[in-house]
Amino acid sequence: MEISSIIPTLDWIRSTTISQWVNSGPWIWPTLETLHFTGLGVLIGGLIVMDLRLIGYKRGLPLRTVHKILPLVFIGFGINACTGFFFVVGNPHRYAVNYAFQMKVVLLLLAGLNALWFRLKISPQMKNWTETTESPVLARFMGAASLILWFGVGIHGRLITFFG
Amino acid sequence: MSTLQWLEQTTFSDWVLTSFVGFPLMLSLHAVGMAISMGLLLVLNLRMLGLFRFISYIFFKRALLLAWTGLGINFLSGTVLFVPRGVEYVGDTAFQTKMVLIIFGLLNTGWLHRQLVHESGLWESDLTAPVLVRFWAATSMVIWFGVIASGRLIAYVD
Repeated sequence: MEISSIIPTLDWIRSTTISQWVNSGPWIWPTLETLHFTGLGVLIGGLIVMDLRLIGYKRGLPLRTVHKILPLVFIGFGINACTGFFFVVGNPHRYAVNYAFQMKVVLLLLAGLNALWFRLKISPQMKNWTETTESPVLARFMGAASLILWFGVGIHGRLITFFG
Repeated sequence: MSTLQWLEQTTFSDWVLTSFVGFPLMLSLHAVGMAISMGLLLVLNLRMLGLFRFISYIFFKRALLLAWTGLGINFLSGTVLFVPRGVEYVGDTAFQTKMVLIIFGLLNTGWLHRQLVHESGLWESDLTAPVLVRFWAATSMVIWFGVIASGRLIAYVD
């Protein structure tokens, strides 16, 4: 797709009230960025706990309870989905052509698919898990994939600034 | 010529500023170390405040080593980022604020870690940790959020 064909759409996004607001004061962008970094910490904090346990770090955390950390993950993701939305709407022309942002979106989709796969394949088994259940090989793989993909998301987010 | 000025003129500084594995990689590592350390400390602080009681303090005793590793990554990557711009940074209000907050944060986290290692067995089964531990756990979240915020503002304030 030619970039020129989406320029009218980008122009329109830039003209919306939300986009105007994001660019209406010097403190808005840095405040959103600070929240975006904080959200990253919240998201990764929850994910590390869950994924390390899935991968096989066993001390002090029963396998069948790992999903109870998910509300924290969703809070972090929610913060970053909202603030990320404001970034893209606030500066659509930049993000549309930014290689690091495109990679970030691809990694986000893969991380989402990984989570969905876990939900469909592993979650239904969890009610049968006991104190001594070992993490299934597939769950270990998903835990490792989750950490790699989400760190990839964070790194590519950080790299956006170096691609114009 | 001051030490900071000298540092800025070294070949190393040139490399950091111009190489792709200089600034971009170090900033990426800085974000990764932040997420690891801040994330794990957040979960620990919330646990001390009474949330996530399915996680035993035993979990954090080893996991905190990972949090310290994250802080170590950020000390190293932060040092590399500082060298080529030291003169500018030491005069920057946001940077100064960040350094002061980091000192408080490290003292706070060190104390909480000690409590975790030596005392947490006593309040493992309680609904919450002792009030002093809860107080410093809540303070920890405020301090480290301040570190993230002032760190981000280094790019803006001059």
